[in-house]
Amino acid sequence: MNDSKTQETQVVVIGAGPGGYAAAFHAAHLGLDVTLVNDEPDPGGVCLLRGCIPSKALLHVAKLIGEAAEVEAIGLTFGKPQIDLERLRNWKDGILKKLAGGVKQLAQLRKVKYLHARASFLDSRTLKLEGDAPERLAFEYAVLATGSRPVMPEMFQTADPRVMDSTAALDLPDVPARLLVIGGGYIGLEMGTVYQALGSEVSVVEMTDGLLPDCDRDLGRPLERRLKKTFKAIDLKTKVAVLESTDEGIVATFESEGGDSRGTFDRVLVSIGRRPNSEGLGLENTQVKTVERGFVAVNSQMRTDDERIFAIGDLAGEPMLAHKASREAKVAAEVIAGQRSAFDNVAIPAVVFTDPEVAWCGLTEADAEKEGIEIKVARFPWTASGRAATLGRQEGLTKLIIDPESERVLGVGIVGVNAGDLISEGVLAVEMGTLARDLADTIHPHPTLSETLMEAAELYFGHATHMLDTRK
Amino acid sequence: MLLEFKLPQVGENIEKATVIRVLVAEGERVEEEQSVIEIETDKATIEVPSTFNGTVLKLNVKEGDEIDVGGLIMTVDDGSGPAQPAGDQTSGAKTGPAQRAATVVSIPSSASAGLRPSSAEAISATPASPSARRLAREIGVEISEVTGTGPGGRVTHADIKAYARDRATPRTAPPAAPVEKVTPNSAVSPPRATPSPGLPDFSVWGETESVPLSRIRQIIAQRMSHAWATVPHVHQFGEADITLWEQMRRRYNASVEDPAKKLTITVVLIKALARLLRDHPKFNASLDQANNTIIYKRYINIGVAAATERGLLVPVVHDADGKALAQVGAELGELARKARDGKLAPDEMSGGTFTITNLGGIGGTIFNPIINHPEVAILAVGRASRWTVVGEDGRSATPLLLPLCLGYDHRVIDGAEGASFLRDLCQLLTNPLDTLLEA
Repeated sequence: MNDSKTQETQVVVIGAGPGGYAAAFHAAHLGLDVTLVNDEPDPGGVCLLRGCIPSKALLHVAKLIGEAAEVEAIGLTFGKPQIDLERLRNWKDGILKKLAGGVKQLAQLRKVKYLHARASFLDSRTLKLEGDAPERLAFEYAVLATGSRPVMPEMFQTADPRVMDSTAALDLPDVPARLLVIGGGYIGLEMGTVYQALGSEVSVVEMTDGLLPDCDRDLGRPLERRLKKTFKAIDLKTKVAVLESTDEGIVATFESEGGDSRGTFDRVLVSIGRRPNSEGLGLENTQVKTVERGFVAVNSQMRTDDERIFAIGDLAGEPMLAHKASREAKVAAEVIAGQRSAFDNVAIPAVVFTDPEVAWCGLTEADAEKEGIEIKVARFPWTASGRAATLGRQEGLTKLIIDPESERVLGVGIVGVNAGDLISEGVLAVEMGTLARDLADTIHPHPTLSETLMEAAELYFGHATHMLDTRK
Repeated sequence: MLLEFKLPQVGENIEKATVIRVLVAEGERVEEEQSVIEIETDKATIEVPSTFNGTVLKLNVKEGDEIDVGGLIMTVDDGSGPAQPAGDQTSGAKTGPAQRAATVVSIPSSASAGLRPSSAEAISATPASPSARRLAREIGVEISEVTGTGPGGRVTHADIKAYARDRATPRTAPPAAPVEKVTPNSAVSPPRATPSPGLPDFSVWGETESVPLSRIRQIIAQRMSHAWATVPHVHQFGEADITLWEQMRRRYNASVEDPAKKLTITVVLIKALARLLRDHPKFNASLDQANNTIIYKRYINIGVAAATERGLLVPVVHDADGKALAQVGAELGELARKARDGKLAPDEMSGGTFTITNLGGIGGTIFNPIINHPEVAILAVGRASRWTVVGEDGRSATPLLLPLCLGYDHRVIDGAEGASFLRDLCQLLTNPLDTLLEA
């Protein structure tokens, strides 16, 4: 089999997103010979090229625009922002290029072979490669990290470029006067926030009875309240029945309890979920099994039913988050290197980078109720935070979900500016099995928003310096 | 590629061992299965075989070192080199590092059968820091079994290490309840549980030499004291007529050349006991006094006490009831050889449900055995001899009689049951067909 068309590698990683490149780098660090195969020229995956990074770049801009407008109320007027869309786009694309280049360089430094090719399994030990030579790659272990893609239901599929998925929306083709966002999940709300700041009139329709269905209602509410002011409309329990392309725009027909209605939009963003990329990989030529929705079944070592093939990231199940993929990547690499590793993390943080941000980790109140777990909740509203007052943003809330018996912190939820950064302390607390008393007795810098975690813990014991629980 | 060879889990209750010999040197080549070090544990000395092929780059242990399970023994270069394609290794499907890991970490083998727990399950599981969970995995401790002493029941590094240590040493049982009644056939008085007083200075009377106890001797001492102090022993005596067995055995052995395959009376006893224990499950049980429960075992594993240079060992013939006489014989022969060579694996010495101790080969008539706690009965075997016996019809015969002593735990078994057991055993042995008819 040693012809020029077949190469051999100890470990092949398929997909170079935040899971794939982390797995490749860690495996290389552990002394393994690694080949990273990616079906696009640049590494980085959805996260770097079509997800986390570009959306955060644009959200940064949205935040600046929003803040500039807000400070008018306190006596600081900047005037209407001038937006040079092309420069903005180039700046964003420049970030992606720089970061992707960095990943490529890191691969070289770690002697990870990077191949631009489409890979599919011929059997449990061999991949067929289309693209860069060679044609076949024999491996000892494979790590599948092919990620996920936006779901686009057939009824919304059209050649009309005005109907976009998140990838198209991140390309920032123009700033539509009227944007319809289908789906009130985090992707729709983040992109809606960007376009609203750039000047679009944004309408959101969501099938269920609330935005961000995975997070607790009390965390979603401040965001909903703010978005109701900035967005043109948020229609819950509403379905889009038809999208029609006309010269005037895309005409959408809505179905809701109140009856049908119609609206015309210049662009439509369909953001109703993501689907794992498990097709076209030749998995049928291996022992790998998939489960519902096309996820690849794995155990806590990230091993699939084919003992030499591992799967990580979006492909391996919910939540489809880059940081979960990176942790799973390390587990897979360690297991392949013979270590007794396992994915046993108890807290995977979720962050919605809207304005305000929403972040949570560990147990949610809704989960506790569903699973019949007895909890106590300590809520610290940011109206009592000095730092929030100085930011002019007191709509936030920090809450702790606590086991009343052991007083362990089981979950943390935060809504407010910078919630995404603040949640890390909560993740550590949950992961470490920290007690509410530990949080309460740890000195937090003043004046910062991080104090709200300490004061929430104090509240659990009856009173915080800046707030009294009057229920007791 | 560099591979780290760490001390694997060598036995169920073993967390630490002393290195008594290092069998490889730096720069030497090792093959898979080749013994790398010899270690002494609480239970036995064991040679640890390499799981890699390659060259020893660095040895991390020397003789006399204590090593924990998971501790680094040596670094091996398997010669594949990081930049070099894996080559032949790709075809060696059975020995990839990941598979090795799979055999030691408890995970569901089928991925689709064992999807990861939901977040709510994971969160309400054992609280411990990620580094503590990693430590537990690395030394083979199931963290959910560890009682956390940290705030809120958090399992600390110290808790995990303490748990591993406790697992490695026999637990001390609560003191036995006082025994009021001494049965007529009890041959000994209840033992005293008081500790021995300080020893006198023996050198006053002449020269002495103090030799430290080997690990195995220490364990034997500890276990015997514990069994003798806590288990109320009763000893029941009997004699089995093994005339017919002896004839058959001799005839069979004359036709067998390999000495390891010759049929011994111990093998016959194992089969007879295996047969009998099915009808007398109490003798195949253990007492959980703390929970006022008797634990009946649905398997019959017969241990055979063996004197070796390193001390007393009890290799176990597992599932003796389901095995033919010749197979039991072959297994016992192999176990005895391994015991002599110090190569018994820990699982070949664990799981016993009943023990035989046969000193007949050495001499003497019969003796009172000490029960191999937590088993509840033991059979001592003396030296068979011919006796002239006058039958009821007044005619005399000269049967070959095997002296037996059944020791049993009076907390579990009463005198009548003990007497019946030994009577049934003697009857079974009298007629070989009874033992042989059923597997």
